[in-house]
This record gives sequence, structure tokens and C-alpha cells, in this order.
Amino acid sequence: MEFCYEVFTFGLIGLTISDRYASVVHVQGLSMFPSFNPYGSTSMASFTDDYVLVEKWCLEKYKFSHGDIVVFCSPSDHKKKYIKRITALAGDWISTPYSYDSFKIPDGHCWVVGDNSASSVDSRSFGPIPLGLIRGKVTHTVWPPQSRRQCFHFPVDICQGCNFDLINDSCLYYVSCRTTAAVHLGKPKNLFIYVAVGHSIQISDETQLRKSLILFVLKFGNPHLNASHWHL
Amino acid sequence: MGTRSFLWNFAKKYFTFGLIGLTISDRYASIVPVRGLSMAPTFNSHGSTSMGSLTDNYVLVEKWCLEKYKFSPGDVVVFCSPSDHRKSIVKRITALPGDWINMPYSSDALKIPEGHCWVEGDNSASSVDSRSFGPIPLGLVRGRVTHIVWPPQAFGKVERKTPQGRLSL
Repeated sequence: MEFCYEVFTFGLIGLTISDRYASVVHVQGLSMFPSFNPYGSTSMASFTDDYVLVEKWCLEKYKFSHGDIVVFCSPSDHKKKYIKRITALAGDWISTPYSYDSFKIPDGHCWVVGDNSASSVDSRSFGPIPLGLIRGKVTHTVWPPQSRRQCFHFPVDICQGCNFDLINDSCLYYVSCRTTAAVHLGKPKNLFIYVAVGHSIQISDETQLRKSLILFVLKFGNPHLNASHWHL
Repeated sequence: MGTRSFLWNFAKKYFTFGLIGLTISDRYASIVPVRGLSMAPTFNSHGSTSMGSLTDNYVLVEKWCLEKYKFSPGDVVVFCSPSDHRKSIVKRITALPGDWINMPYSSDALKIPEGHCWVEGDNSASSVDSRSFGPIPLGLVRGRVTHIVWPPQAFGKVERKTPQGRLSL
């Protein structure tokens, strides 16, 4: 009898914590590559997918920042949940892709974009989302254990601003960007090369480059992080 | 020694009941006050001040509907305001995804997109609702109002009222 009571109480504590404070969520798909599921994701191999810790304290205070990765209900199907990164908040101006218009994010809304822009259904399709749809903020990856990574929280610029040129010069490739960018070099170490504005980097391995032309556009607040600190 | 173990047991029971209450309130049903006159005469038919008063209606909000996500037109729901996520609003659903709505003051008709619904206050003259902020995603809905529980003279079930003249067929 005592034992049942203890089990019940612990179950209730677990449920309350999971509802109100933090829970672990399974990430499916490649729209947030390579932040999540950097080794790919199939519908059957769910034990190799990333599982992330989602905290819900942020919902009490409702303080979201640029670059936060959030879990939210899809505006077109409230039964589905998506994980994307907030790139703009209420009052910011967004330039729409493929046109010269720009519009202002309305009050109480935010703009969410997947890190893997080529393969992500996000605000570029369904527009800004009301903050009331957000169900939590992702802070850590908890599985697989060998690559426990903390999520990057740098402020993120809109990817449309980035322009990169590839010049094939024998075996050398030059990548330069109009805004500070991080180029992901893929397996096995999830290496990032950061390229500051006006700089370019040389990548000598064509295979590496082909595997990973996913660009993050990051603007660094931290003055220590510039291109000279990172080498191939 | 006896007193300490008695207090400890009392604290444990108190904590467990508190937790049960919290879980029920989060997941199944809770009681919320309704402020303002946008849903008169269904709620607050005796008036309401901005500071809140004991004569404001308190209603029972059930959250089972969120598990199955089955809403019908005419349901009164509580949802997060799309322009300020800290505010909760109580209004009635008048149209579901796929329905056509007649726009007020114009001859346009609007089709409710997938996953959204149209909400309006019963007191159209004094209600900020979908006619201002457009259809809202169903993900913003936090529960459905089933009964008024306070004040005692207003106690009763909240009926599902299908609105007339808004839907365009």
C-alpha cells in the first residue's frame, strides 16, 4: 500500500515536471541539420535520431531571444509539432525570399526558420507564428550520448543575406560571404569553420565541401570568435 | 518524535494533494474568471468592471478536448491572444477549417485555412475577435468552457450556440 502510494506520487511528480518544466523530445527529419540529426534521419532508425531536452520555464516568463530553438504547434495542423530556430521577433523587419518586399513581424509573433533551409517547412511557407503556439525551448541534446552538444544560441541573421561564391581553382575552393557565416564540414567531428565578413577561407578537400554546403549565418557578439582563430 | 512524524506525514499528504490539484488543473479542468463584456449576455450579463469583482462569472474550462482536438462550431473556448501571448481570451468558435465566412462590412467571403478557426464574441458591438485579428490557429486554444460556476445565480451549462448569418454556404 505504501509502495503504491510512493509510485503514484513519483509518477505525478514526473508528469508535472514533464508538463511544466522540462521534457525530452524526439527530433525527426533533417530540417535542422546539422544542429540535430547530423548523421541523417530515417523513419525506422529512430534510435539514432537526436533526443533533445525541452525546457518550459521560458513559457512562464515568455522571454524568447533570436537564435533560440523552439518546439511549437504547427499553425496548419495543431496536432503536429515542429522544432525550428527563431530568427526574428515582433517588430523586426524580414525581407521575403525571392522578392524585394520586406514586412514587419506583428506583435506577439515570431519568425522561425530551420537551419537546413533547403529542406525545411517553416515561416517562409506559413508566415510568422503567434508566440502562443510555442511549447518550449530546446537547450541540450541528450541522445546519442557520444555527441552531447549544447545548442548554439547566437543571434541569427536571415539566410537570404548570405551570398557565396565558389571558384574552382585546381584543388582549392574559396568560400566568402557577405555576412559572417559558419560552414559545416560534416563528419566525423562536426567541425565548423567560421568566416568573418570580408574574409574567405580555402577548403582543399572537395569531398568535404560537397558533403556539407549547409551554411549557418551567425553574427557573433563575442569578439573572440573570428576567422583567425579557426584553421583547417 | 511523534509530533515530527505526524507533521511529516501531514506535509507529504498536503504535497500530494497539491500535486494532484495542479495536474488536474493543467491537464483536465480548471476554473477561470471571465472579464469584460464581449461575451454578454452569456457571461457577465450584470456588467463587469476592469478591476474585476466578485460578480464576474467564473467558468469551468475543460481540457479533454485538447487531447482529441475535436471542436464544433458554437463551442466557447479559451485561447492565447495572437497579439499578446500572455493574455487569455474567451470567445465562441463560429467557423472551422474549410468553412467560408462572410466578411463584415464588405461582400468578400474568406475561407478558413487548415488548422485555424474563426472566433467571435457574443456581444459583437464590444468584442475584439477574429474580425480584428483574423482566424486563429487551433494550437492557441487552451480549453473549452462548459459551465458557469459563479455566481450561484448564474450557475449552469454553457450551451453550444450556432451563430446565424455568419457562415456563407
